[in-house]
Amino acid sequence: MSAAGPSIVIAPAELSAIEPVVGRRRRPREAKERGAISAADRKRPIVMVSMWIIQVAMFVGLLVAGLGPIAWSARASVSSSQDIISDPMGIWTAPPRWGNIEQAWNGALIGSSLGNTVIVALGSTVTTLFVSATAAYLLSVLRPRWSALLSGAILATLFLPGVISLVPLYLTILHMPVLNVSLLNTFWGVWLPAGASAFNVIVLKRFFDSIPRELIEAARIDGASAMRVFTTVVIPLSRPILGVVTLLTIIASWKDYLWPMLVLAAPSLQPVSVTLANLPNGSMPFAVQMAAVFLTIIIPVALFVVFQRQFLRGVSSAGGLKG
Amino acid sequence: MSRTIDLDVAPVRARRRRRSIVDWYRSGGLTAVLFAVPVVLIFLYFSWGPVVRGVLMSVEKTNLIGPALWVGLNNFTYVLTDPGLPQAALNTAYYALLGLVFGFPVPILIAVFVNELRRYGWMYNLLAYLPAVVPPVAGILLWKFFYDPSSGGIFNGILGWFGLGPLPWLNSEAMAMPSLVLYTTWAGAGATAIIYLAAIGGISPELYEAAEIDGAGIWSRLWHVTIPQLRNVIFIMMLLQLIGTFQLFTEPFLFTGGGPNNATQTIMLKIYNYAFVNGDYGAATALSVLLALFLCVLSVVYHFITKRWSPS
Amino acid sequence: MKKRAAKIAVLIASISTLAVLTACSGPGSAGNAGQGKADPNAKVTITVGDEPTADKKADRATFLQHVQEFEKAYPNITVKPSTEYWQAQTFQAKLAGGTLPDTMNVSLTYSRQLIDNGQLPNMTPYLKQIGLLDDLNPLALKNVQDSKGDVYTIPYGLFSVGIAYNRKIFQEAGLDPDKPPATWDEVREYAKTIHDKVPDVAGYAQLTTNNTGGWMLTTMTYSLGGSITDKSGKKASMGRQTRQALQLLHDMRWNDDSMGSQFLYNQDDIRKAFAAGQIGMVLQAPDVYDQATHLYGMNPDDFGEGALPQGNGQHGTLTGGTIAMFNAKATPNQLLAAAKWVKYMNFQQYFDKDLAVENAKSSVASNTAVGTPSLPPVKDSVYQRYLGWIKDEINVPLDHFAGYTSSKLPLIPEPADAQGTYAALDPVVQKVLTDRNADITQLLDQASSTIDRNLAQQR
Repeated sequence: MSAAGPSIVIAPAELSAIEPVVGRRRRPREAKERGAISAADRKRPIVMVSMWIIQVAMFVGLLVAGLGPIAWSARASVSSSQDIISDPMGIWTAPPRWGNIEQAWNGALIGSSLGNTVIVALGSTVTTLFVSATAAYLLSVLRPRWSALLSGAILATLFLPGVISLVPLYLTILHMPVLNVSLLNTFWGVWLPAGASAFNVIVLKRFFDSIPRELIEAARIDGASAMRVFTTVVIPLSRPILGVVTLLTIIASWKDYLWPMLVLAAPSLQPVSVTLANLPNGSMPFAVQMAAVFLTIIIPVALFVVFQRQFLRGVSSAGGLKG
Repeated sequence: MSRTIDLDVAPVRARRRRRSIVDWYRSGGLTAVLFAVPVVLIFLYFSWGPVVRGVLMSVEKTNLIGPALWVGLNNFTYVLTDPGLPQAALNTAYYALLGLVFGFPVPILIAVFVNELRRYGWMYNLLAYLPAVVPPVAGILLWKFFYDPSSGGIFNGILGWFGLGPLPWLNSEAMAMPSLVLYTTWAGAGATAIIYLAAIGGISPELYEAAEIDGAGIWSRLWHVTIPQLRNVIFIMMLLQLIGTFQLFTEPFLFTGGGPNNATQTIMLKIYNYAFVNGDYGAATALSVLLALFLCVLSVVYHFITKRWSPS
Repeated sequence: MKKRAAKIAVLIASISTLAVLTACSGPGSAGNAGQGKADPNAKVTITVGDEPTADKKADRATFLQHVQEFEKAYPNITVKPSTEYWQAQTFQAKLAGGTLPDTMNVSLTYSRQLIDNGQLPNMTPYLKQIGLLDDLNPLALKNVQDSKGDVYTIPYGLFSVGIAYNRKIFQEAGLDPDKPPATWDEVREYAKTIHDKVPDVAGYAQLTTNNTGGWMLTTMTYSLGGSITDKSGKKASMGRQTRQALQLLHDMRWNDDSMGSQFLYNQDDIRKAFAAGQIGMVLQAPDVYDQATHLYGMNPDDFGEGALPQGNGQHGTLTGGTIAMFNAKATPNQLLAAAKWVKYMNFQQYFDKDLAVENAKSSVASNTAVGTPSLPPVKDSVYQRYLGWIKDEINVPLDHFAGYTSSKLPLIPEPADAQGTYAALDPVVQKVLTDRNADITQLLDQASSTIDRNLAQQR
């Protein structure tokens, strides 16, 4: 427990603080208001002991599951191809080969493909948030007569496997009907289709449904337009769910490779997921491929560790999804 | 650009409320149309349009180059009489079941536990979230090494320290599917846990206090306060997971190619093979349509079941 | 309930409206009329695939230099190189979108299927026009022709399946590394010896997943004198030879335990394991050499390749390799130019000494194998002359391939609907290797009916 602690201890209060105000005077306070276990419970020996046991077991489990694969991949990235394949457990003692990392960085264009990944993820998130939030507002708050039809049409697409529309979607991208443009080899070709997510529309709509109508009515009576209600009442109240949608979109776009592989055919535009999927077809020795894999893992992990406070707070603070 | 769209959608409204455009405008009709523009456009281009075109292909024989041939329901009878279909369907259902029983509770447990931590909660969060950062292609590459069935493999090496194994992992019909569930749980639990954590953070402490005053113990509070309060999120996440598992593809494709003996052959893998190995896009879309219909039925059933559990 | 029904009706109505709309906006597929009437001097631009990516510096420089030289030789042709290469997952979409390069490389095993699906243009007139048809190896042509004898693709990097073995493991087991097994009985015997004498090594390993299981079962069947589909390509025709092959695998796996513990091998994984010295023998074409030594770090001294073991007499082996395919949506002028490009890139070196030496040198510089034994894409006399030109650049230990190069096994084309047929056979091989009580006859009956179904759907 303590072994991992000291180097990066962050005051827990800071993590769960609701207001993200920088430079605010730190004062000791209860980290969270309370969970299922009360302060009184915590003083009971049985609770203390079992919490401690669960805590340690959980920590070991998560450490192995979370860091184990990454640590192995770190060691594999500086081993020889033969050692990795023939004795994957024995690589810890093999002499390190630092050259792999450099070869992988230069050969697989990890830097630029990580940059592309960020561009793809950001653009997809913006499209998704914009499309789903406006749609959910329409279906939940504005509710024109035809909203049932629209929501049925959106819901219907939730269950269709991607394969059914892969080829037609590609044809659409190549030649956008009416607009007569091709989105091939442009980021728009990935950004825009990401917005067509029925799941996000439904999740947001359900959340918007739970916003007390009095708040919206009050704003209306004060003379706020529908647009103003959207930007000043609904959106601020929905920050947690928007955080969740953002998270899901970023994860999805980070992992997706088939579609970007089709649309972003030029290697200079391809995100990491595509670069990785293409690696086995290249001419890089296996150990260098493993180094490339490690680089694509460690850079986002490092960024995540650095920004985890902001990130986790963004997702988990400020209320939650209440039914 | 937006002008064209107004023309597309406006007539629908206009027909209904012909008498006064001003009335319509005042009642927020224009705003509603404006808010509908992004979603309608995006779905028209990237979802409805392609899907309809895809469905049309399910009644055609096409090589995607020359003119397509109308074959009616031939593709449907072809895929429905595929001797491998029942097993693929069973495998998919089996995976969904395993995922629900073993994979689904994991993120909830992590979230409930982390929420109770007074200190170092962020560290647990971080560790649990790390696998979500590993791209699937890389993750599966690593896990293939972990699942090596020889005694020199990583998991078998670890088991060996305790005098266990070696286990065949992906090489046995019985263990292959659970092995895939283990991997997908590892890959997905952390990100899902964060969503649950957000929801748990929103539970009002008064509920716990009230329960405590009523004499409820810790377990009872978790069971009667936390879980019911999470109901909505759980329903959403369960639906998401169900849809996800029925579209399981990448894992069996990269781990086992559907083997051993079709033990990890899933519906999506079948669709993939029809489309990209046999070059039979008609059969692939036919099976996609069937899968989509099944999922629709499933979600309606799901909707009614969860409705009964919901108070409102 | 009534309301719901109304909603559904509206939904269906709107979807069908959409269908009409999208059907109208769909691109009309323009077939290339005027097939075969190409003007050799018309100005034309072609895209060519398989441009090496930036990480392969030497290869890329050579490739781009070839483009320049080609454009100089044919001033009316402009070549646009593209890093596009064959990927099964994206192929159908790109085919439909017409975004494939005018020519690129594909694995030979897809050739028949693409021809049967009508997804390739008939190249016979263009190949005649540039005089390439006569120089091609007639043995290889069988795999790229339809029933009428028309040629659709150009085979140029061809191999036949043999048996790759690890010479070091052979030595450790007390076997002669210069004598690879020539019969299946020997394979079984050697595998047992390796299992007994060398710990943690599979004597013999078998490909099983992603259609390679069926591919190798077909190879084994051929080597025992059997067939998988009949001559007309309409029915499965597996007989006692296929059963014999499966029985052999079963006995090695369950009686001798000489096949190790991993039974889910795709091509990459088995090559990795072989390169890492975990496998004594495995069915592979000699092209495994480059990947095993270069990518996976195998010591070239340990590599050995023999001819495909035979049984019940001498029968033959299966071909594999690379072909150049062409875009069905290209114009006749483009197809002609693309054929010229393929000829220039892949065949010129057999007729031009300086080019041959230059190519070989650049391959050596980028650490690629030069002189790996293969099936010549050209007539034998031409190929021998070429080998003489590049003999100083050869960096492959040719004597380790002696078992392979000394044999003259006949080549047998792949079965009908190769990939679909292989896919039906994968589970059979997997079952035999993972279930001691597998009923081979019953498994083959099931696979046969699946194959018959697939073949009926293909037509």
